[in-house]
Amino acid sequence: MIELLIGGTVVVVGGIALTVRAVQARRQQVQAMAEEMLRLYAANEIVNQEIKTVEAQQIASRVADACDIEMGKASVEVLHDFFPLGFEEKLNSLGTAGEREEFFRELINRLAAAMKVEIAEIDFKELNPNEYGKCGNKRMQLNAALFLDPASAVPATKMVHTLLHELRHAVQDEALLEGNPWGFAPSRLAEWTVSNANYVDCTQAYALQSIELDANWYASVVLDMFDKKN
Amino acid sequence: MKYETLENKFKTREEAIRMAVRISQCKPFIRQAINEWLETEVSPTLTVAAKPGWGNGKEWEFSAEDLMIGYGMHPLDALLFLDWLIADDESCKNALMYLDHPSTPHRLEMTQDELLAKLKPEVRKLSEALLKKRKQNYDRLERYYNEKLKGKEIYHD
Repeated sequence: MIELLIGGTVVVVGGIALTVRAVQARRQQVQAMAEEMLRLYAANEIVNQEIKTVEAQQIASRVADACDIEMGKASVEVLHDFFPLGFEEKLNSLGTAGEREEFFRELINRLAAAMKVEIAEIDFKELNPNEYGKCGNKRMQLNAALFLDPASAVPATKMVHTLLHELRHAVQDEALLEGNPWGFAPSRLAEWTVSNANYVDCTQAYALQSIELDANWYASVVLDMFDKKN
Repeated sequence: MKYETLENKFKTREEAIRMAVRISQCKPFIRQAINEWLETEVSPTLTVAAKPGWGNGKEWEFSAEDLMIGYGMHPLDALLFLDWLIADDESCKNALMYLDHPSTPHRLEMTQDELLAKLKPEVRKLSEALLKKRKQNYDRLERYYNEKLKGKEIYHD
């Protein structure tokens, strides 16, 4: 027997007409199957949204707040002062670890002032070999081997990206905890708050958290602006 | 090995369940490698090639060993990363961008409740709404896990 349910009308092909009760039961069964399918689909969609495509969506839909533009422009000005001939040329001219440390300390302080964020302490120290740096409680820690060794194979652009990325984390912290003097939209602060609760310890999930996306986005935008201005 | 064995391998049940759902989405050969690693604890050596549409025909080859040695990834993390790398063109691009700019996960040193208490009322309200939505999503994932994954083999021939 083949049944077709068309707009509530029961059409029966090659069988006995169904009773109202049977039709209702069949409808409920179909509805339950549809709901189950939607539920399973939704469960997978959640993972897709949370883990797979968040970055593309967020980066593509990112709209800079006025404070982002102001902060970006101020950061680019500092980079121009410190790297008039480009990143590599400047770092190649610094022959010793001491010269590099002094240069980076001054650069970080100037960038922090341009971004209107407080960095109370800068440490160059031994970190995990894969770790470039981190920033928390107004303290920036950078991997001494990667930043200070004149023979370091790390491209200068990546070093500057790291500084901008970590300084942006300091901005996020202050915006959440110290009154948001920059004027970030409340919805963005809420995203950063929720992002702070990590739920899966894996690179992919980490890379897709809004605080990391925002820090990477800011660093990339500033470097793009710097390139265009050169 | 069954998905439920993951429950003993993570700090929280939520993390294990989210990871189980993520693994269930992996391509079969990635799930096979994850299963082998869970059973033997021998570091995976899987290598994959990615040829993204935006790469002008260039093919990248990555191995789990590259990711573990070069980027300090955990074996499971490395295998999931390989799956992400070959999932689709845009994801591959994102994955490669991330490899170029690794950094330490940023965390405020306080609990979620402590952080919420420090926020302005408007931001706290929005944050709580996002957390509620996330909890609802997790509840659905947990039901899905319990009904469809928990007792199932991660990989079988």
